[in-house]
Amino acid sequence: MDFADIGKLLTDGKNLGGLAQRIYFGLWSDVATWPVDAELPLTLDALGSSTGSIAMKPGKRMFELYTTEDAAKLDINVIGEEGGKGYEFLLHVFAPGLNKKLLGFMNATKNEDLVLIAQDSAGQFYLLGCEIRSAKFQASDGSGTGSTTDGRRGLGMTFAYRTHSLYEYTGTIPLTAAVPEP
Amino acid sequence: MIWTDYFTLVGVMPGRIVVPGHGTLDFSDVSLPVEKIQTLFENGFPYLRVTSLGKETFYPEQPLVEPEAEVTPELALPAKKPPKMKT
Repeated sequence: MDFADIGKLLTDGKNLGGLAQRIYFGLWSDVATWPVDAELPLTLDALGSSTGSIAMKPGKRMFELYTTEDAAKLDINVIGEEGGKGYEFLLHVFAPGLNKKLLGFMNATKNEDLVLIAQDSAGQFYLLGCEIRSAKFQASDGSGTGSTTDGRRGLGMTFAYRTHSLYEYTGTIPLTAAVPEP
Repeated sequence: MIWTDYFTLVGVMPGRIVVPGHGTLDFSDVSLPVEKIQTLFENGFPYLRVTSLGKETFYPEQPLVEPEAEVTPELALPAKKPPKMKT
C-alpha cells in the first residue's frame, strides 16, 4: 500500500451535494457476476474503486426508482469495534405518491435481499451489495399520507448495506435483460 | 454510418444501459454515434463486440513484415563506396 499526498480534489470546483433523482435496484439473487476489489499493487486511487460491472443472470435486469428531489441521501457510517471496523451505507429515498406499484415495491422488498446503486450529484455511483452480502430494507421514514395539506404523500425508505471497504462503482447498470452469450 | 454495422451488442437485449460518464444509452437506437460506441468498446464496455466490418474499418490487421536479420559488426561487409557521379 502506497500512501500519496491528497490535495483539494474538486474538478473545476464542483461539489454539489445530494443524490440524483433516480436510484437503481434489483434482486441480489439475479446478479450473475460482481465487481471485484482492486488488485495489488495498491494505491489510494485503486483502493477507492471496484473493478468491473455487475452482470445479471439471463432474463434479469436492474430497474429504476424515481425519488423526490433533495429527499434522497447516502450516509456512510463506520461500524464495528477496534480491530474489526467496517462501513454501513444507509440509502434514504422518498418515492412520492401512494400508487399501488409503490406499495407493491415496499411489500416485495421489505424482507428481500437487494442490490442498489445510487448516483450522487457529481455523477459518481455507489453500489450497495456484493457477492457475499446484500442490501436490505431497513426502515420506513416519513411514509404515509402526511398530516396536513402542505405535507406530502409517499414512501420514505431506508436501505442498509454493510461492507469492509468504500468504493466508487465505475461499472455499467443494465436496464435491459441479460441474454446468454452465443 | 450505423453503429450496428461495426459493433454488435452481446449479453443483453437491445435497450438502455447506464454508462458512467456517458449517461443512459439506448442500444436499441441505431442512430447512436459510431464514435461513441467505438470509444465504449475501446474502454472495455462489457456488452460490445466488433463485427468483421468494424474490424476491417477501425482495426485493420497490419501486414506481417519479416524482421530484418541482425548482422553482427564482425560479419558485416564493408560498406560499398557510392558510385561516382559522372559530371
